[in-house]
Amino acid sequence: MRFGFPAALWALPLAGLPIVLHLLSRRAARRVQFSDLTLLRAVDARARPKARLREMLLMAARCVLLAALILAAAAPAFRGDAAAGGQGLDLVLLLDASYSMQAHDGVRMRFDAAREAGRRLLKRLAPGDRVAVGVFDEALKAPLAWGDARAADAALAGAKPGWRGTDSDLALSAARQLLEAAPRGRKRAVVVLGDGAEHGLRAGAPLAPADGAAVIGLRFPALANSWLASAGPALDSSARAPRLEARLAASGAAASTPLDLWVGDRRAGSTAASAPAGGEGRASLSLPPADNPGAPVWAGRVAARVDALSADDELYYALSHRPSPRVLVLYADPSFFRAGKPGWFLRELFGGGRETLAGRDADFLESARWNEADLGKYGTVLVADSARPAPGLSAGLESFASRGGGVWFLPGARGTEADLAAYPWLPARFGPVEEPSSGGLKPARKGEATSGWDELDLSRVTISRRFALEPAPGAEVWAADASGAPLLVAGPVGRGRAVVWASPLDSAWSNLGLKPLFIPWARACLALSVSESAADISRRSTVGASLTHSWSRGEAAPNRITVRAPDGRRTTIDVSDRKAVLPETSIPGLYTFEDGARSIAYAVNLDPSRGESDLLPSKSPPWRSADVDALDTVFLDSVYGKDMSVWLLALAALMLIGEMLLSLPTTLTPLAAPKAMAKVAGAAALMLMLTLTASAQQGDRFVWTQLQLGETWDPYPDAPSGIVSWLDEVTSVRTSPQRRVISLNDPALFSSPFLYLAGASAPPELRDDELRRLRQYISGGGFLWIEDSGGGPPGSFDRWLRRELPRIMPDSALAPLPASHVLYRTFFLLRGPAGRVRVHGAVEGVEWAGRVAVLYTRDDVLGSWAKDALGKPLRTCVPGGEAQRELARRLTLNVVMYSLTGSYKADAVHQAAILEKLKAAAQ
Amino acid sequence: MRWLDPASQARLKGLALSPRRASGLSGAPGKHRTLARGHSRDFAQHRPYSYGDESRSIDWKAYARLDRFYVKEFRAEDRIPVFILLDCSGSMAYAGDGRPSKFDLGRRLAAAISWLALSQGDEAGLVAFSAEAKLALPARTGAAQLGAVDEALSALEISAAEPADLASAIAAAAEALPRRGMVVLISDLMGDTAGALKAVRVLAARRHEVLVVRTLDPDEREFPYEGPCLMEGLEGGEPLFIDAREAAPAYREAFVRQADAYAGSLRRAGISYAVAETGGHWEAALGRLLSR
Repeated sequence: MRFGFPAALWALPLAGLPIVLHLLSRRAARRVQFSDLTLLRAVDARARPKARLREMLLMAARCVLLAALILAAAAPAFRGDAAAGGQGLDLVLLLDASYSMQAHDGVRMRFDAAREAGRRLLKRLAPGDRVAVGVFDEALKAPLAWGDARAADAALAGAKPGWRGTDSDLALSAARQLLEAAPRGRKRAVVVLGDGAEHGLRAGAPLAPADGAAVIGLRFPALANSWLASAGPALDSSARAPRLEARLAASGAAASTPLDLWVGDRRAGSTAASAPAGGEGRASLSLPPADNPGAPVWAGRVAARVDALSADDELYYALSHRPSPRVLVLYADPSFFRAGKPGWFLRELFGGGRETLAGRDADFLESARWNEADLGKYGTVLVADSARPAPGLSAGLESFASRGGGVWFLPGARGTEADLAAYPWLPARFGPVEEPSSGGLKPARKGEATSGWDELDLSRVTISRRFALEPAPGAEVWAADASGAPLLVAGPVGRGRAVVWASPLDSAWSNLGLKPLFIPWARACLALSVSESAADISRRSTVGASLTHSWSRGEAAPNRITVRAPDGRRTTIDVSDRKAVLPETSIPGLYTFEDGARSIAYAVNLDPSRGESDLLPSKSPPWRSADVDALDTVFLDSVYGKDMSVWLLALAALMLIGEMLLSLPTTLTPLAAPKAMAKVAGAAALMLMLTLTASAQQGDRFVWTQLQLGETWDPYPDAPSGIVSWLDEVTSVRTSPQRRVISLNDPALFSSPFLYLAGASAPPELRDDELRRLRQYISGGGFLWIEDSGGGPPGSFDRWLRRELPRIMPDSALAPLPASHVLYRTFFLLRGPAGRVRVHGAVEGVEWAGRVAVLYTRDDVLGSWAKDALGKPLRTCVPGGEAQRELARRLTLNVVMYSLTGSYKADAVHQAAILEKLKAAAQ
Repeated sequence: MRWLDPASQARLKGLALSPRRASGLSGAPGKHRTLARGHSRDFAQHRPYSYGDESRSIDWKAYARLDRFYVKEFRAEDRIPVFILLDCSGSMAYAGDGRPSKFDLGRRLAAAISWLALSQGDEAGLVAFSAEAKLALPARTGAAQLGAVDEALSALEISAAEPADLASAIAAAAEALPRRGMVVLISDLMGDTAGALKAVRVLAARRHEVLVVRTLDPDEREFPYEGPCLMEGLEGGEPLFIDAREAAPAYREAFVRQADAYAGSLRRAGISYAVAETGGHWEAALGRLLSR
């Protein structure tokens, strides 16, 4: 992580401010005197862990918030290699212009893609940035120099891919030197617009450019490529059977391609070649015979199928072979071919319908008709059976030899010394016939001609009769017999050469024809007869190297010579010291040195030794690789660093939200929310259960249930609590202190077996469904106590009731209860009704199924319970005063007990005790 | 009278300190019903005459009707000592702003109850307790006792000693009671709820008639504080640092639970119970207490 504004980091301790403030707030807390801390301590102990956790989280959120804001202000950049630099950017763009960049990946050339990426990059530069552009292949085309973006763009636009290899190390070290010389304090970046291929990076772990510089290179998808590694004369190629051997190499994938052979401008043949991936394959092509048999030269190209990289699929060749022209064998008469005669051996030697053994083909001609032959077609004339020469033969042969031909002279068996003297120009003069005593011969000179003779047993070659040879000055003796007499003499004649053998080939004279030495001997003679011929030459060079053409001793060297390049351009160069040097070859192809009539072609090809054609990318390049299209983003990330401040601000916002949520009041904190929701859910479930089940009794507790009907339904709101508490005190009934108020439509109606209805004025008329519900209630076993709380003469409430009750209970009527009713005995023994007033003599009730289901009192019994704020009775009881109040209270209890227990006190078992008590009370 | 003014007297007139159960007590003549037979105007029952009864007590009308000798029996009327147990521990000194302290309220309540007791002929005594109990005033009847009560109340002070817990304090107070009677416990009952209830029930089990008045300040119920506070208890102990805003709901809930526990438990035990707050009408609370 690097920071664009590190001074802001000094503010980082501020992030600890919330902790400091929290600690200070403890001290700043005000002191409060409170009476007793027991409850507070208990509350605090229970809430402490949660509260502490919340506190910690809150402080942590605040600290992280502040820290994130401070870090964001410091403009952090992530993984920016060059981000540590200051303002301004020094950018070095290195464009790879080697021929591997000409590879075409189906859409465009790699060179174009890299160049476009470079130009896109230039658009991203700020005005204060400097750019140096270097186009390189094996060396930088121009030294690196700083310029601005426009100059760089122009330089890139003008670059073109070349034909050389790649040396990225060189370019990188040049970039490094440039950056080291640049002043510090600026960002640095080096972008290599190449293909990142392995062939460009030789040195293993090359030098990294200057520290603090971002180095980025391009990465292209791997392309398989196949190329022609070499095309040259096959080992066994000769002028008579010229063959080219081409090697095909492939990388990335195995390749098999047809190879086309072009000689000059004509297509001369084709074959197929294949190579495994990473390896080579060979193919051989046979060349057509040379146009000019005397100068067998072939120049042209071998073309394979064009693939991704087309530049390496064509290879030029220029080769020339030692010419092997035909031999003209001149013989004297037809008996030449009889067995044992030289012609018989020679015919065998020159093939006689089969392949020649001497390496050259021969034509046989009678020497008398020698004029008919076109001596220009032949390279050597073999006078095989020389006797008396035909007219003009000697002169003709001499001129033939002096023009460059070769003469091989074998004396005939019938030749005499005088006949043989007709050839004075031969390198040896013939002497008399001799018969050597010993056989065998041995080579007299070391040379290429007699190089293979040592392996043969030369002692068994016997030459029984021979001529004596007297070598001329300047001639070379190549073989001599055991006594040292020369047998094989060769020497120059004009421009050509002549070879003389001392003995005819007749078997009478020597057994040479029968010996294995015969063939090597014939080859040696033929070789000796050929003047300094051109060796097998393959004229090749590589692009970029200079071409040198030199003339041999025998040739005349001109002063100036013109060289034609493959693209047609002609250059004239001076010849000095028999050499002409073309300083530079920039494109592959055939360069022709044109010298008047002759033109000599040189083949210039791409240099395969650098492995440039292998397009496989390097596995661990010394730079950060970026795809061509993603170069911009990688560049910006690398130079300026990925901007982390957005992430930090997002973190700060998150912490802010967290802090706000946490600092809400406790009832809403996220920590308490699940618990609160669970509580709410549990409470809802419980309430649901409560409303469904018979909760009226709240277990088995008596609940005073009051019916809310009309406006005056609740004259004494505090009376029920007093009643219930007295009930709880006096009896063993378990009570619930809260009264319940329901309406007729409440589902809890059927969970309240005791129902009290009071009123002073008439409530609204009951609807049908309410009537039905009431009837259901009563017939289901409920007890309804209706009271007229007016306490005076019958009012509207009384009238309403007497109207409604027959509607509720059509079968039964309201009837007064006698004083002996069990109601007056259920708990206390009472003589009669009492209430706040004591107006009426009896209470009324509606009987249903043997019990009083509806009780109607008009004495305002509940009014006797009413209390004021001090707890004293609110209303006086008339006329009995406190005693009446006591009786009213007892009546209330009796009614409640009646509703709970029914008429069990009417059972016979209780009668005696009741009677006794009554009697005692009466007294 | 410092602790009782005529306005309160007027409001409290008519209240009666009457024990629920008729208890066989001192035997000294007083207003209350007892099971003992004595001389009063209330007729209890007829009893057949037996040898040794006074001939004055023969009911001649019954003899006229039934031709047998019956003796009328009258109920004895007793007077009871009313002991006021006043909590003098440190927490009683708490006073909300603009309100008197709980201790002053307790003293007024004590004065009013003594006046009620004395005006109906009973004895009134005072026991002050905090860590240990002291009989500040022995129980006596008479008008002069009221003045003595007043003086004794003025002389009482909040004890600054480290308090024991409430339960042992009430138990100590119970030890200090000389004889059975009516006990009115005036305290704020702040402390160990279960222990206090147990001590009060023990007190009731000693055949005292127990009435409990709880004096509170509205602040203790409402907890009106905010922000971080360092709470110092009036009864000593370590100060407690809390965040009042967060602790308030839980505290109020705990307070309500404690109040309900006291109310329910005391009512089940048959002990009259009332809560008097310093800002409100304590006479009404007294009325509620005495009219149960």
